[in-house]
Amino acid sequence: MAVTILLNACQFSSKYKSLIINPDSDGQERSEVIATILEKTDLFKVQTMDASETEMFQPVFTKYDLVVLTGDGKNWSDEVQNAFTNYVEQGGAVIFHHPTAHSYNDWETYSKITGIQGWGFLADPDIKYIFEIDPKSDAKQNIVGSTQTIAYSFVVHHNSDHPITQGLPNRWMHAEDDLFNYLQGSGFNGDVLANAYSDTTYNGSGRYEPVLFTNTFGEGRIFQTALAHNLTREPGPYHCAGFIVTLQRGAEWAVTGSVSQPLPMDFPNSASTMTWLDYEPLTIDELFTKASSYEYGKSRMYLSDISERIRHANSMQEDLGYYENKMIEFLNSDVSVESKNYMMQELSWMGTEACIPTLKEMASHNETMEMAQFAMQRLATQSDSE
Amino acid sequence: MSKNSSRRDFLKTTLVSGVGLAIAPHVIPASALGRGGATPPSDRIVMAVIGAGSQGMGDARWFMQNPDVQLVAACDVDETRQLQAKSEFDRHHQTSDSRTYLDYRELLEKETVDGAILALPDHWHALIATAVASKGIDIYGEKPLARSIRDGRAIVKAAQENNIIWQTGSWQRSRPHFRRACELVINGRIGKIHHVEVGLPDGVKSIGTPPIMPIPEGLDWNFWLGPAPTKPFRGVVHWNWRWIMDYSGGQMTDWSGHHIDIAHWGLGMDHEGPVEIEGKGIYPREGIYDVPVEYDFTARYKNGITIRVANQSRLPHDMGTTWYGDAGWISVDRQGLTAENPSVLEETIGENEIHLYKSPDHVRNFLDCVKSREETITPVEVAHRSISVGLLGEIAMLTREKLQWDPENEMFTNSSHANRLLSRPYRKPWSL
Repeated sequence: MAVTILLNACQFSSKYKSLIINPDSDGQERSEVIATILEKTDLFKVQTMDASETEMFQPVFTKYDLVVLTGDGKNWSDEVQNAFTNYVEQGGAVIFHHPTAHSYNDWETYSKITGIQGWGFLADPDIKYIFEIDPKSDAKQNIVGSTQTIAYSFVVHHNSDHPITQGLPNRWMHAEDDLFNYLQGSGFNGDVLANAYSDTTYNGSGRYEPVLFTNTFGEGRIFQTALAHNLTREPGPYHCAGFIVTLQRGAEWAVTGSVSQPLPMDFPNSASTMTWLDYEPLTIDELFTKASSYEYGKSRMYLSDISERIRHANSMQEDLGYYENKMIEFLNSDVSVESKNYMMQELSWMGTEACIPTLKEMASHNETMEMAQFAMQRLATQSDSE
Repeated sequence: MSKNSSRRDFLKTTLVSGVGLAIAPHVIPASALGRGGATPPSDRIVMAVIGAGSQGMGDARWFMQNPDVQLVAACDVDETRQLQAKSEFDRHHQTSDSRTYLDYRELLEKETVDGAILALPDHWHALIATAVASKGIDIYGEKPLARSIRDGRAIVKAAQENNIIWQTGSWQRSRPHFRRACELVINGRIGKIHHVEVGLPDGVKSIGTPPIMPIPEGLDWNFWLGPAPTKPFRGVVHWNWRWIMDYSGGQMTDWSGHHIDIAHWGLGMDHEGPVEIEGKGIYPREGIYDVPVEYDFTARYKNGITIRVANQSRLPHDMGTTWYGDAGWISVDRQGLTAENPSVLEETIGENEIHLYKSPDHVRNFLDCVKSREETITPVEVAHRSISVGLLGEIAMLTREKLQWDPENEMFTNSSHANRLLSRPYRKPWSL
């Protein structure tokens, strides 16, 4: 018992101490969401601090492994600004989250740390864009940091060699969100990891805009995510698995320079968004529960997710018996006919003798007879050939 | 069958002897000769179209450009399409007596035809092609050959056992620049080939999740589903069936009969199959369409050559077939022919080098072969080997396994999961 307690204590103390700064009272909810997302990894212990009362805002940055800024607010005192600058310069880890990008236009060093020039003014031909455009040759009157709401349609392309994005699908669909256009920054010296198409249909710029990028300042490592703005959309960009996972990986990278987190089993792809209401993937039991009410002409996403999990397990040469047992249990429970029919089609290629009694039972009911026969025929074909 | 055989023999005699008309007068009354120099009925190829949708009617119009073709019947499970076809056939042939059918079995029972155009959803290919072949009727069958490897093999067997002429709608083989590309490759103009990339179209955009809706008047939905699982009607039927896995494998299998077919032709590997397949598909989580929107798989052949098949966005040469050899690459698509070293494209093929089958026109080639009883440019086994690559890729993606394939016995040697996906069980009462 004593050993267990000691181990737990070690585990607890080994978490990265993280500070999320609430820029103003509006930022409270956003900070809580970011804290939840980081703590889901079991790697971070998060504390939040309110910066709305400037005189009271006196964080000791050096106590933290990671500092997260999520929003703009009143200017910090010179003392705090200097402390933050020193923290980053001497190897601190920082995450700038979407609403932070345009903060503190008057604080010159801040824009060096973020790599972004602030926004709301005409693009400066002497300052480079973060991505794609050569400012000298671009004669357009671009407004730096202007935002567009892009509805469920933009796809993110990754620099897949970076630890944050390595192994993730290289194109995926993000939930409806706001997208920055024409980001510029003279202090930008990092890597663009992902960009997203700013669709002209939604008055976007018609070009790929950076959404995930890194920066360095002194010894500090900086990760910036332009994803996830409006908290009021449900299920919104904060629930997008793409945002959540890249934030979690970006945070670890900022602290350590590498990423130990396993790749997520579920992720949006180039055809579909993926939202996690509780900021983490559903368990297999939760997926089966949600799949149980499937009817034709309604969402099939939980069924698709089960199929994808099975495919993934099969690719890892895992025993599929675990899934088969779940499916047998599912077929023998009070669930929709359509969801049963779907499961039987899945069993037709990955089932074993174990599911035959259940399929026989299903074959005795009119509504499930056809797919039960389908599955049994396929399973029998295989035993013939063996 | 005897009826068809004798008619076929007659057609062959007239073509081969070239004196059919000279020896025929006592057989054919003069009144039966075509008007105004048109082909006489005895020399006409009488045909039906089964599946009279946009593809089937497109094919039928192509056939009707040939004066020796007479289209006499149309079969479709959608009455609207039957009537459209009849109206076009009658107008073209200046008659009023072409016939329409809902059920292909009735057509086969009542009609005596030389050939049939089959332009059906993939899940129907095997049932109808084997039934038509068993009547000794020659077939112009749309690609891809079949929805499953087992279906494809059944079609090959039926076509060969009944000695019918089969042309697959893989018409790229009849285009000069595709043949040119293949002749350059097969004659070693880019050296020994080690890799081929085949770019096929990107997946189509989702239409979301349509609700169950009333079946349109005149459409026999249950018959349309045929051997596929019973599903309620949700508005997706003509053309767009190909984005649903019960009926098709999506762009990947739809186009296998084009650019994979060309890849094999250039390699001189028309009758071969891969020995190993591995790949990944990206499937939509939502919506009625469930085929992969992105796909990327690689098939390795016993001689070590690999063919990578992927949706066009993933490949440097986009759509088409690109062979990579020791001395550069050659790429071909519908727009034309390109090469790493453009001077290669100017080279002539010598008299003693390999000259591939030359077809002036894909439909004409079929018609000529119906008469001569020679093999077409895309016979049935070749079509089977082309679609097999797409179907094997589909299985590798569905199981996400690295699969070992025995192309002789058409079985996977390392996966019972994958072997089950070689066929799609039929809904009763349908069976092959």
